[in-house]
Formats: sequence, structure tokens, C-alpha cells
Amino acid sequence: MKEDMDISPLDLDMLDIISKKLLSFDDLFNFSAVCKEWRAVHKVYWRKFLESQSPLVVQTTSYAKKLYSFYSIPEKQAYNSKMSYFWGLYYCGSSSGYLVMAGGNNKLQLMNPFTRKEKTVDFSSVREDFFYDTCRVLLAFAKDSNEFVVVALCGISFSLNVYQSRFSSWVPYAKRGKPWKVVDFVVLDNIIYALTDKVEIGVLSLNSTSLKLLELKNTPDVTPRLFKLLHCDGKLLVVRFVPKRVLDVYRIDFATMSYVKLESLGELALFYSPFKCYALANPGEWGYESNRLYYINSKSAECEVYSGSDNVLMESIVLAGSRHVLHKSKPYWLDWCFRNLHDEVDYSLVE
Amino acid sequence: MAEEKSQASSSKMLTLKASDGVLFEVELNIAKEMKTVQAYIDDCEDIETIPIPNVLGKHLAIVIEYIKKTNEEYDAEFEKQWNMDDLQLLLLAANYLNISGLQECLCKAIAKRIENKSPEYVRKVFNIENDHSPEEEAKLRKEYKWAFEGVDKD
Repeated sequence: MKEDMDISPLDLDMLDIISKKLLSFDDLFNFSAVCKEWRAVHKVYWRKFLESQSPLVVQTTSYAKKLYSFYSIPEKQAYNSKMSYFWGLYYCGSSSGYLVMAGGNNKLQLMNPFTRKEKTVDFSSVREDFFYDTCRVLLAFAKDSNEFVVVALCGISFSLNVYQSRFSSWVPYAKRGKPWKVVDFVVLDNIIYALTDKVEIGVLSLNSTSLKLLELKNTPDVTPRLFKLLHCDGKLLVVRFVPKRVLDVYRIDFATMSYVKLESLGELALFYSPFKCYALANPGEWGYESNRLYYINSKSAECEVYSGSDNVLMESIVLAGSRHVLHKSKPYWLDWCFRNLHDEVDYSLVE
Repeated sequence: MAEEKSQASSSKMLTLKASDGVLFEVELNIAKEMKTVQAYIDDCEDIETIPIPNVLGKHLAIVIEYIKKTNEEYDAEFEKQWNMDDLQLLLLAANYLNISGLQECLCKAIAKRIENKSPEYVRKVFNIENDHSPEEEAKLRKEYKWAFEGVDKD
């Protein structure tokens, strides 16, 4: 009987084991709210969880009322989170640990399921540029403040708009591909870099509506729109990928200001989705292999693994079991989510 | 329990005495799964009856049964049988006797029972005091508000 127990069996070790058995973010947050001791246990576990560089797969279902989960391929398990109020909203990407969704009420919902922080940004003023299901976004925070910026690209019209919380307004940088047709962007060293359809790389200013193009040598001379811009180990990379057909990887060498083509991925692993491409420098540490490209196509619950040397399909990873599929509807893998990433920009670096 | 294993050591029997005096005769290799008992045996080789002061006969019986039968299937059914009080007492026993497999199994069972339950429910079940100040509580509710929506009715 409860009254007979002078001591609780739930010491710190047991609480630690229990917290690791909870696979729902909601349950974990409930756990941390019980009392100070449980909160402390959760804090330790959660810090480690969020530092992990192992990407999670953003998984959802084809059922109308979408439920999102985060699937870990190496652990073969899904973490759930009740985000069903995202019904009717379109997924625009994941950035800085937030999922970004756009909806018919002209609002961008940015939600971080790991920290339970959310932001809403109204985009009525640039509404004509938001074709929800082709939007690509980047969320970055201002260094040393709570301000943030959202860079949004419309995939159809190639209009580029930037929202800055410090001004509470959107500023169009490019309309319908003019003056530049930006295809991707990434933050490196507190600067926003953008890639154009001519495979030019520019530095995006947050103090003026400008994109300063870098003068680079050996620019690849190929169909531009399939390129993605990313960074790894402090270097900018440009990747062009078509499963089994094309895999071109370039590193930007700032010393010689030129594109350098890589013959293979070497130690790297790339994580590719129709939204973005990411790189991991030490994939072996996180349950993945070197010299591989992990590809999800946003249409099925499957990840194809390609060789970084010759673009040959090595294996196909599928969703393990069906324990965490909450509805009898087809699950599919949408995008990669790196929970440890948190982009920061420094306004003063670019004029 | 008629079958005897071929190794000589396993045929040696030990007696475990629960806190309420109930005696259990177990094979040495079963008793060894309880690391606390193992340590006892290491210290005094000739011992035949080992006192288990913190565990009632009823729970010691369950623990011994678990050690004998544990496998994936058994564990999955095992966790469904006990109410929350028994789970906690069994976990106390598993902690004292230092049986890691049983600890994992019971923690998994407890985790399952607190899935989708509110912090208030968890406090009630485990007799835990809410040591958050009203300000902290309000802050928690605000920060983690999704966690407080959609939980099962207590």
C-alpha cells in the first residue's frame, strides 16, 4: 500500500530510465512538470537529446488531420508530438529546430516541438508571393537578442522576401526572379548566403535590400535549378543531386575564391530532401555511414541511401514497425530535422 | 521445477527469507541474478539462508518467477498484471536486489502508465508533493501549454 512505502523506488536512476521510455514530447514535458526533482532529471536528458547531431525525419500521414512525429532511423523509433492543429497548413521547411508552416489565414506558424516555443508571422503584405506548398524558408535569430529573421522564397515565382522582427515587416528582395533568381540559402558564420540560378553565391544584407555576389572562379556550367547550398565544418558546399543520375558536390574555397569539385564525399554524409540538403562531418558517431547521401523524397516513408562516389543505390531504409503510426493512414517522410542547429545572424557583418 | 541443469553449481539450492518470514528455495544460478544476493554469497560462501529484509514474500515470489521466465513475450505480459502500488513495490525490490532486467521492465511499465497523463495525476499516484511555487507553476503551464492539452481525464 502507498502508506507503507517510506521511500519511493523512483530514485534518480529509475527516473532517468523512465524518462527515456517516454516517446512522446508531450509526455516528456508532463514529466518535467511533476516536481523539481523530475524536472532536473528531464533537463539532463533533454539537454543531451537536443545536442545530438543525429537528424530526425519529420514524419506525417496522408490523413487529413495531420499528426507529426520525429523518426530516428538509427534508433528505429518515432517520437510523437501532438501537432494536430497544423491541419490545413502547409509545411515549408524546418529551420533552427522550428517547423515552419503556412496557411490560408496568411500566417506563418513557426513551432519548435523541442522547446515548445512558437512564433506567428503575418505575411498579408507579401501574400501574392506565398504559394504555400512551394515555399522555402530560413529562420535565424539575431545574435544576443530575441529578434529573428525569416527568409522566404517562393518556388514558383522566385520571389524572395525577408521578415525582420526588429522592424515587424516584410521587405521584398526579389520579385519574380528579378534582380536575382535565388534558389537556396544557408547561414554560415552569422551571415546569410544565397545561391542563384546561375550558381552564383551572394551575401544577403539585413540592412539594405542587397545581395552582394561573390566573384568565384570555376563556376559550374550546368542546369542551375537543382543545386542546393549547405555548409559543413565551416565550409560552404554546393550540391546537385538527381538519384542515380547526377551527384556533383563542390566546396567553395575562400582562399582562392573558387569552386572546387569533390570526387567523393569522403567522410561526409549528406541528408537530402526536396526542401534542403544538410551535411554531417562525422556520421559514424551518429549512426550513419560516411560517403553516403541519404535521400527522402517527401512522398513515401522511405530513405534511399546512395554512394557518394558513384551515386549507386546502396540500400533503402523503411519505417520500422507500425507501433507509432497513430492513424490507419499512409505515413510518409517529409524532411530532415537537425535538432541541434540554431542559426544566428549578426546584423553588423553585412552592410 | 524437476529439470536440473547439467552444471554442478546450478544444482546447489539456496534459501531466501523474505521480510515476513516466507522462505523460498531457489537454485544458485537464479539467486545470482540478484546482484545483492550474489554479493552476499561472495562474502560468506557457506551461507544457506539469506535474509531479504526489504521485500515481502508476495513480491519476492513474483521476482523469482520473473527471473526464471523472463523473455520478450513474458516481459510484455508481465507488466500488464500489476497495479501501480505493486509496480512500485516490485521496483523497490528490484532496486534492493539489484536486478537490472527487472528494473528496466518495471520502468517501462511505469512509463506506459503515465503516458498521456497530467502532472497532477502522476503526483497523486506516486504521492509526490508539488514543490513548484505558484509563479513557477504558471510559467510552466505557459511554456509547455501543449503538454497540458489533450491529456486523459484523471
